[in-house]
Amino acid sequence: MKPSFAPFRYLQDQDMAQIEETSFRILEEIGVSLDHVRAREMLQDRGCRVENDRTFIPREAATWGVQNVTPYKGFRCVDGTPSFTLGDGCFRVHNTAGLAYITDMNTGRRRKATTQDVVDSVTLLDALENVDIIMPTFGPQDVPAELITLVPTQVTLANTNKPVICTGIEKPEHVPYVIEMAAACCGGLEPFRKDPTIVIPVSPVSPLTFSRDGTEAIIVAVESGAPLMPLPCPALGCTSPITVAGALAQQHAELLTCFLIAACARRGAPVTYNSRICGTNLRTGISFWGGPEIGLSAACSIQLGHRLGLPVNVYGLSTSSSFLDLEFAYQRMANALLPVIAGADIISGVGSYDNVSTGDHRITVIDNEIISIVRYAATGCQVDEETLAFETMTQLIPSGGIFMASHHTVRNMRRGALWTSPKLLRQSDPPLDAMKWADMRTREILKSHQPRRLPGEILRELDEIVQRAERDLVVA
Amino acid sequence: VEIPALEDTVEPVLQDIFNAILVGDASLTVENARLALEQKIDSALILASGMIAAMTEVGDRFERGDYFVPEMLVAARAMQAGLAVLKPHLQQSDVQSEGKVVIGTVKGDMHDIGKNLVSMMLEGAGFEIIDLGTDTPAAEFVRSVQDNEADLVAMSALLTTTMPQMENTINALLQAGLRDRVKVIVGGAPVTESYAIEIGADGYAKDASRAVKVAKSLL
Repeated sequence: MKPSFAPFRYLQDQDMAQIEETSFRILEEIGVSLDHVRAREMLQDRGCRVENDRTFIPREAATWGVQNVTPYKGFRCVDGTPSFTLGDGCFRVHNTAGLAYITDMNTGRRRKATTQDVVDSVTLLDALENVDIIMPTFGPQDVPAELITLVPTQVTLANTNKPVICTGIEKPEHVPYVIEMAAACCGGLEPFRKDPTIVIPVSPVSPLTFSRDGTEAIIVAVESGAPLMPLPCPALGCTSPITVAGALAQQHAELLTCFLIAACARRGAPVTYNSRICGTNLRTGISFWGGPEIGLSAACSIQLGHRLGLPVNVYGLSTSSSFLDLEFAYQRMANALLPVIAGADIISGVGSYDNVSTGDHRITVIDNEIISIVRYAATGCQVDEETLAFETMTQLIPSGGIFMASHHTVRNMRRGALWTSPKLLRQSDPPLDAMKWADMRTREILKSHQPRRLPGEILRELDEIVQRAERDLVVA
Repeated sequence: VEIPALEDTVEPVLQDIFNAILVGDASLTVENARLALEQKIDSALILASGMIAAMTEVGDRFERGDYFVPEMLVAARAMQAGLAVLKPHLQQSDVQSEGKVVIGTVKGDMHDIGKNLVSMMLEGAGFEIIDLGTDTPAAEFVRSVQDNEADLVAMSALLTTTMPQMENTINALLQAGLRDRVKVIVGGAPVTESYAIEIGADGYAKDASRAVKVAKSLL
């Protein structure tokens, strides 16, 4: 069913104006730490002022930046075919990326993730109907550190045709290999530049710090034609003010800086607006991903991003729980639902738990179920002659007919009038608890699902690119 | 709805009947049943290759989780509408009933949705149904079993206050000397399997689709 609801709004127009004004003041009066010579020069050309280690960005330059990037909406499959366009009223979902640990399904113990875990997670994500975009879930610990971004990207491209977002890029020298691999899958560099097939996330360091490598990665990514996903991750009370409004203003300033650098490097660079604001456990000082401030700050970020005309990608499915327990479920549902009813374009988080530190294939399957609930909630209540069903009531009620045997019921059931979950569709007798069911379904999928395979010559090309990267990057 | 093709040798009109039942289109089923008779196709063949084949497909889809109860019900209704056209042309031996069922909501209970669902599902599965409606006294169940030589009594109750009427009806069947030749199944929201055993019923169904399985297993 097509969504039919007015998005929920936390922020009034004057709130957003105040946050934006504060972001401008942050850039003008506090400035950013920008450790990149070329970027500093480009920003100076746009009227920015450099003093010592800080770059001060006037609002005219920040505004110019956001006016000279392009909203990235048209996601493409790995092979280059169009997949979906953001802004159509539906939200899309992707998984968490780059996890170092996995809970082993067979032992129940946490261990280091391997390349095979990446293969399995992509297979699973490829099969699940409620996951639209795939990121490499794990940073496998069985490959050299220099290849920890590239090998999972290779594995992901080779095992799905769903749109792919790369793991967050730390080193600019990784970007060309990522682009080369994605281009090999969609017909070459020229088609890639025209219609890019992989999104590159790069994280500035909160608060307001742009490292040499991170800034270079932004520049190399946009110059290669890839869409940029700037991904600041301020932690409330730790790397940003403890208040959500303050964190939103800081994050907005960090994003405006990313857009400005991207626009300077390549006018019209495709971008998304992203929020990864998280809480902080003030007894340990460690970031905390279970509180409702995740969903709340995501919902507010959506308003701020949409005000700039950009699609917004936020965190959603998150929990601090170290167990697959009730806490896991209620934290996750709250944080997934809030951004979706606020009109998110993309929500993230599938497959991870324990403060986004660990992955579990069964959680991926449970998340698929949670998303089905959230998707239903996001359709709202459609009101028209068909849904009001007056004619059906006229025919049925006086004659003692039953709604369950009416064509109106069949028709609207197929249109999704009632929530039907993957678990419900596979209901067993006696019913299985959610974890046992998820375990069973995970094993079923891993045994039987056949993702679309790339032709042999492209797989070989991917191998060659990674081998070349190994020769170029790995320190003996 | 994805419609599978019947064998090449099957007359096109039988495929049309099959298709119409699969999507629950009663008027199209009737129209095609009449057309098939006009084309002098044997009525037993129409029944077997068009209608029963379609209901078998519907049942398979339900088992696989592709179809839901409403789709089974509209298909069953289309099947019944087509069968009404065929009946005057069928020999007794062509139509084999799965059994005769006396069904009703017990005395004091006016809730009949569940009972109606079970009734429609049983009818769609080939049972002959004698529906006594709601608020049915035990004596009426007994009389109907005697008059119709029923194979099965199906009772429903929604209220905990009317549940004991199920046991009363079973006792009434016992006293009338009918209990050993008629099976009894019970269901309804407050009814459980252990309650069914406690009152001496032969079977319990948690929902309408399971009622068909239970009924078939008992006869």
